Amino acid sequence: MAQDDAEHDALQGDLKNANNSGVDSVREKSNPQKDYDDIPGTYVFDGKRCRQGYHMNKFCKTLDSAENRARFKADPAAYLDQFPMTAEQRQAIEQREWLEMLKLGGNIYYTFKLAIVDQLSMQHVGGEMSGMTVDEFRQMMIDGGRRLDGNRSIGGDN
Amino acid sequence: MAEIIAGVGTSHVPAIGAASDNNKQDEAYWKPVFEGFGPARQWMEDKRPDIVILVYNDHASAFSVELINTFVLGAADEYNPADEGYGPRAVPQVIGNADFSSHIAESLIMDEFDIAIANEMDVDHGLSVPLTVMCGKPAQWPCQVIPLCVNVIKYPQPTGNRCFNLGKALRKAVQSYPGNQRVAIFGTGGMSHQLQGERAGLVNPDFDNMFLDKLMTDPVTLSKIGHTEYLREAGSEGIELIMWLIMRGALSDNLREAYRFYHIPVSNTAYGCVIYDELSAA
Repeated sequence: MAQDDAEHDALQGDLKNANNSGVDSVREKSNPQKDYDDIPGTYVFDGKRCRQGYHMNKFCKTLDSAENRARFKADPAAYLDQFPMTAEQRQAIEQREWLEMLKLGGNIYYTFKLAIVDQLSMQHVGGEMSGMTVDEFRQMMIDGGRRLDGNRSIGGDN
Repeated sequence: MAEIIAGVGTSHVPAIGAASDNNKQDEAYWKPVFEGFGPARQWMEDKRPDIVILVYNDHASAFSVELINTFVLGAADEYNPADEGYGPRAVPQVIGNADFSSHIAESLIMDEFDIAIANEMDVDHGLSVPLTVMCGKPAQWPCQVIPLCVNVIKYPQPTGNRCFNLGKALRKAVQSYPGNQRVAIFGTGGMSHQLQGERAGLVNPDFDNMFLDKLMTDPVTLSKIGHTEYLREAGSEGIELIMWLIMRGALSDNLREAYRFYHIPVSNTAYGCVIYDELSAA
């Protein structure tokens, strides 16, 4: 999991040592901004997010056992104490802030395990993440789904 | 020697499994979807493959963030349905073929595809929904199933080209197995969809239809589509379509498109199904 960090550190070292002709290519490679960061409303689960959300996702993963679901429902605070999440992550979990979980390194396939405990559908979560009610979201899908036009790029052509 | 007789592409939307399990196929929302499965199920009954190599992704069921493998081949004789939060799906146990899997793994690794091997794993909707789509609700699945898992959740996913080439290696592996089994390859997942973020609900029929149009006749062009293009144009989960390229890579170019079905929406997803017959197969 630490590979990206190691790579980043190595590149930083390269940057310091690089002669002028190599600087641009090294800087480009070490730039933390990825081209997929330009896609609006999309949280690509890359190495950085995987590390950031590691314990939050591990908590969610435990909910695919009936015994753990029962323990979590019986005493959520004690159950969450087992996982060394940040205060922000814990709050997002406790408040069921589905979009915030993604911003803090959650992955939808993991966080959705928590939604299943709450008996929520993917439409419900999709609606909450995109500022719609579940009925509005479901209707949008029936009407052909969210259009790509206007949703391609933060900084470029749409 | 074993023979590849066909390839199938299908989405593996979990809601299809739930709709089937809860007998919702006649409801207005589901009726056109299940009607679309009809010819595919008839094809499956007519073709009766002995073995299905089912390419899918595990959704944090058998595997988790602790260890992320790019490609994993199931090598067991049986696989149980996973508990994805609702209790395991009430579907038949999946019967594998450990001897066949061992041969495939050996052939792939000798061919320099260093695949991970799972001797024990539960299988989630990624595997069971395609079987529901193609087989309905039998008491037992009508074929042995070899699970082949691909990481499509954690970036970077394998490239489309790598998947296409893995399919080619899979073809060599199947064709060198000493037996007379008739094998079908299922590539599953997709089509365009995005489950997460403010763009949740995104679908792109133009991309999907382009993909369906080119898959049989021009897969090399599709194999060059990069990660960001998938993520941007087909949605963050639409990149699952790389798994269809494994299926296509395992086929020859002497094909007939036996069936195609496309429907929006199935849950949050654009559903697609395509079937290719190998014309030279017995």
